Amino acid sequence: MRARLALGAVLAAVAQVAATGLLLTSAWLIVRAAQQPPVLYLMIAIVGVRFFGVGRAAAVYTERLLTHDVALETAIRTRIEVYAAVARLAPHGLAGRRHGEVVQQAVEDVDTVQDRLLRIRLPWWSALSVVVVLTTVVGVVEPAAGAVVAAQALVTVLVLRIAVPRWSGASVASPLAPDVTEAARNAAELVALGAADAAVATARSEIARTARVDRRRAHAGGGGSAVVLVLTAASVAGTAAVLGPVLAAGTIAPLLVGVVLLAPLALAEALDPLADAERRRPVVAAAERRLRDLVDAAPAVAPAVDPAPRPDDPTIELDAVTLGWATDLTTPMSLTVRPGEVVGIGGPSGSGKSTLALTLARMVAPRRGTVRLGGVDLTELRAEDVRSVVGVLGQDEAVFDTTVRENLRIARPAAGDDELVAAMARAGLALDLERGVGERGSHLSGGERQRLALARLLLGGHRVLVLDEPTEHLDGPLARALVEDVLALAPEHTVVLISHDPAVLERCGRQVVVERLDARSTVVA
Amino acid sequence: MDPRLLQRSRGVRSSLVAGVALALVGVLLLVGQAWWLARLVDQAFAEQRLDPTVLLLAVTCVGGRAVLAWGSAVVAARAAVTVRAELREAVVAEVLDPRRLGPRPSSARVTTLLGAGLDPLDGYVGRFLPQLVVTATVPPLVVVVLLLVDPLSALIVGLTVPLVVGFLVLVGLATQDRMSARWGELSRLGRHFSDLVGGVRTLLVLGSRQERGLRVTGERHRRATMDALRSAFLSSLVLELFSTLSMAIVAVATGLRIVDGGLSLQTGLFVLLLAPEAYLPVRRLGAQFHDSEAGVAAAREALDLLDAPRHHGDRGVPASPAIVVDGVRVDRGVGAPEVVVGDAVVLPGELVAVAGPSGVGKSTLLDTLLGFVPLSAGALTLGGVPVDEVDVVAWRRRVAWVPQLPAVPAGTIGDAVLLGAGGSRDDVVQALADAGAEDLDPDRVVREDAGDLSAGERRRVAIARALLRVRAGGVDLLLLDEPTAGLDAAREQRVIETVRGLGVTTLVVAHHPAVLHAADRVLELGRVPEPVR
Repeated sequence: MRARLALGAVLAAVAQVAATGLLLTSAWLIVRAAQQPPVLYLMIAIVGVRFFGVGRAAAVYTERLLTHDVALETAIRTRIEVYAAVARLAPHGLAGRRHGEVVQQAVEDVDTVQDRLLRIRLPWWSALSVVVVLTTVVGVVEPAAGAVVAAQALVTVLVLRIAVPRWSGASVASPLAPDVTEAARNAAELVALGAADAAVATARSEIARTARVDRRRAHAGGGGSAVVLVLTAASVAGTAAVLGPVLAAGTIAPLLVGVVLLAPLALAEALDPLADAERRRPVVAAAERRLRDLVDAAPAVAPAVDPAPRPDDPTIELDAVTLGWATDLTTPMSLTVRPGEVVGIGGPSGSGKSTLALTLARMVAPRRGTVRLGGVDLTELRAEDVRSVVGVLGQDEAVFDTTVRENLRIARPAAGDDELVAAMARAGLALDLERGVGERGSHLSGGERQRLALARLLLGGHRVLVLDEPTEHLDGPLARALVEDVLALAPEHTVVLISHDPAVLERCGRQVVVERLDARSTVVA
Repeated sequence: MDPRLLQRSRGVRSSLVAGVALALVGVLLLVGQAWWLARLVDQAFAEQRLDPTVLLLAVTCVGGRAVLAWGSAVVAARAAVTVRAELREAVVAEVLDPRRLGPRPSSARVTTLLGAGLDPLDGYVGRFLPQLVVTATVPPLVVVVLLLVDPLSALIVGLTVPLVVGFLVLVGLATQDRMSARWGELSRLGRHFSDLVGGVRTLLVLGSRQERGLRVTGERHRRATMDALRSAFLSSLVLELFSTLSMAIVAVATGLRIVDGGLSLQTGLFVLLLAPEAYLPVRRLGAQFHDSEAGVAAAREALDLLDAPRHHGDRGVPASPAIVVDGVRVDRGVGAPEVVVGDAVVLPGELVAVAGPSGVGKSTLLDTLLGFVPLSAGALTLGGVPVDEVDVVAWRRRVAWVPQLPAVPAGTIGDAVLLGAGGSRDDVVQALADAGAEDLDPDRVVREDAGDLSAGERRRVAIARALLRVRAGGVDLLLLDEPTAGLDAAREQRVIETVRGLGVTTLVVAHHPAVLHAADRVLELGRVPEPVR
């Protein structure tokens, strides 16, 4: 990869130098022609002009293929790193931000950081090569003019590098106030409630306000190319000023005057892409910063320092455990779930039942107290080991935009079709394995999505199944059938069934009620 | 370029006009710059001196181009801002248009369009469109100027520029099929990563390690992209090759004629300096093609959203209407299967539960009653008036609706309950209590998107809102979509009793036996499938 990158960089430089060579050789050719030498003397320049022309095109083509290949390869590595980072942070996301937002941002950022190579580094490499070649050539012809051109290059580069990112930072579009997007999200209800007109009026004025701010900032955006040209004008004047006396003294061949006088223009052509590159820089830097923060963020659950081996015994013990995320959610609770047992977890809406499920899968650390699996504290176990024993079915499991078969196979990649169909049947589902489920399962109904997720979990081979409201979107007979099926999983599996439905809890061997911290905790064993 | 954008957007039109004006001035300055520089070199060669006046003119032209470059950038950036604001306004007005018909655009899509989704327009309106204008104006003008000083060079440039464009189009057409064939796969592979990251919790629970999959898919994505790029860059190779070779031909032809004495040095240099400017806009346009694609896609996404049909009905619905549903089918858009709602009759004052397996169209039935979606077959009448002839805005004032995942705007819970209806604080407290939400404080402030309310809490707030609306009077129909999902038994009972006591015609979508039991009758939608065993 390094070799390809280096070759790409060289080619990028070659392409840009060839463009400069084309202009200057042509200028030399024409001025030389004015001396009316035999045509043979011009042949070298003619061949040179053609060589630079073809060379440039070929170099550009090869360079772009090479560097894009490298950029794509880097993107693969970045994606893997970012995925691993998100997996460490799951399911809570970063402090104060919702998981979905973090994910969306990370996906966009991974694409943006590719521009570091393609749209910032490469233009710089090729521009700097032209600067070196051109100042050397001009400097050899006439040192003073070489100094002027070098000064032009130096000042342009400095101004672009320092000022343009600052100007473009100001020209980034301002975000809309969240209530506008909220109104759009809630459109159907606002319309049904007859509250749409007011929302449209608010949105209009907010959009107009944002546009006014952005319009004021627009004048900062286009400075880069202007800087390149202003300094070119100055440099033309400067080269002319130093050439004048030399020309009068006759110490420079008139033949080369054209080459020297046109050098500032050739330089401008090479430096102009830097304006674009620097405009892009703040955007790329911000994306890189966000990704770095993501990768460096502390994991949601601290990994085990010296992990114990996976226990064979799937007994679960909660010892004075207080559940919660950033704050305590429940009063301390203690509970033992023995292998093959069926335990129903009840409690009012919002009492922390779902948090219990995630705590058991070692996705949230308990606020206080100890959770043990087979007698080993969860904090001493690898999260993967815990999750291979304890499987959780949440209320919003992800369904991936592929076929039903592939969705099921996530849990057991080697499963044959008959196993998949059997698992679906146990979840009360009979979908065609070939059927595409759509983005986020949009081609399935809510109930079908839920049942597909259940079928998938059943394929996972977990000894302990924690089911969070599995019957929520199912209708009466199917819900009852499903509960019976789930109960039949014991004693082969331990089943922890979370539900607010007394009828469901009634069927479990034992019931535990989780209550919120603000209510009195009643733990019934 | 999408003609709808040109029709709809004042910003785009004014940007194009300004672009033409600036391009014309730009050509003048280019000609001046080439002319005075050529004169400068000619004088240096012939007279061994540099004329300060000529130098000043040349430098002024270069400086003028600097001002122009800045001016065009500002004009273009402002145009992009205007277009973005216009489209955002149109999108908001569209999604909040009471008479809009058809499947609602996904909220994620709308949020993207109102947020960063329209940012690619900066590249499109701000850079690509002005460049398009420059490309259409500058090369012909350069050829005209060349024609005045050196017809042969004008001929070479005049022939090769169209040739370059022609080849560009040909290569584009030849590779288009391959490109579009790959495009689908490319975007699918591109979504893979975002899908995995979004579903990371599920994958962790299932113990599925994705690193290998990410590498394999990433490699496939890379190979497919490189294949596509090989074709895509081919067109720019052709572009580069032809434009630089054309320049080389001009330079050599000019040089040879100078040797013959058929052309003055100044004219030759002028041609040499001006001719590349005929190719430059075409090359730049090629380079900005990527900007244009992203921008066009963003604009098209917004414009497509704006094309939904409208509800044109204007008839009133009689008081306490009976509802008759006859063989109704609803098309839910591309990719989703058609929903067969079937037949039903609901008499005034009835409390009817709507049951049936998932995906059979229970929520869709409520959508048709609210006039949100057009029927693809069958008939639905409200008190004898077909729903497509009803004045939906007036009708919805007489409907209270609790959707599956109700909206709770940022603000206090009390405000959310009062949305769309008036009432005192006592009314709010009473409504919350009747909705089984006595534990929710009306003064509690809810974050944006109700992220700190559970689904059950949101539903209870919406039920309270519906109760307030019914109690304010004038409501003929109450639509409840799984109102008690996520509620415990005691609260569920409380809600059922409240709804029973209202005496309004009510359709309630439900699975829970308690709700089905409380209804006057149960409407089974769809065929009840054999339980799969």
